[in-house]
Amino acid sequence: MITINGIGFVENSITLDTDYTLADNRNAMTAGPVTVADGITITIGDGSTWSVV
Amino acid sequence: MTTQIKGNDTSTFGGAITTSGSSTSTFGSDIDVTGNVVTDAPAFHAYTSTTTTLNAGVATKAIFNNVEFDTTSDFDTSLYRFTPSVAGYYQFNSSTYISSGVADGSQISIRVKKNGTTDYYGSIFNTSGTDYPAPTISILLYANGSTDYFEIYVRQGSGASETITSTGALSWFTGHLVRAV
Repeated sequence: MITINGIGFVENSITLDTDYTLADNRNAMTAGPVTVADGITITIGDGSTWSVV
Repeated sequence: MTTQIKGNDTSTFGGAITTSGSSTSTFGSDIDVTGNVVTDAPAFHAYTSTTTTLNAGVATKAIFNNVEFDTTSDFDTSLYRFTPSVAGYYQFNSSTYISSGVADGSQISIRVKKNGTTDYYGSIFNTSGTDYPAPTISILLYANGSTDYFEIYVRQGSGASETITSTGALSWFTGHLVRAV
């Protein structure tokens, strides 16, 4: 879950517990470190980049 | 090809994996590599192109004033010593061919000297007649990756001066990192 609050912080969960597919030719960013939960798959499409910052 | 990162299961990467920064990557199991494993681990092969004079009864540092290769520029061809820049366990090997006959019964020894103080001996033997001996050593030693250094010393007890050959193929000193720490 991503939360954007009114004072400028963008937050995300530190555990990824839902499968996610980043489509081809798309970029995504997550504030790390994060943990991919057991049984969960994160798929990054061709030409795409997932950056954990 | 897509990349799949999975929790507690096999992840697949459609491209290269690049890490940055100084953090250590941790893998909970074996790393099975199909291609080559490329590292920057130190490895060197030093050899001589000049003679080393061995005065009788004196442990003398062997001259290795050239390198065949020195992957991390850790071998000093002026001081004839290896100061590895990565901490870990190193395999050292050396052979020094004495290019003159050594008196019957004379004792010859070779050693790796660590930090100028601690000797690790290789072959120690007595010659017979006009032998041209080539003492050798092979040993695994720890280095701290900063100040520890290693040299080769040879001692002969013939009672007269002898020389280590200037032929690099006959007198050499090699070493490489076996395991980093």
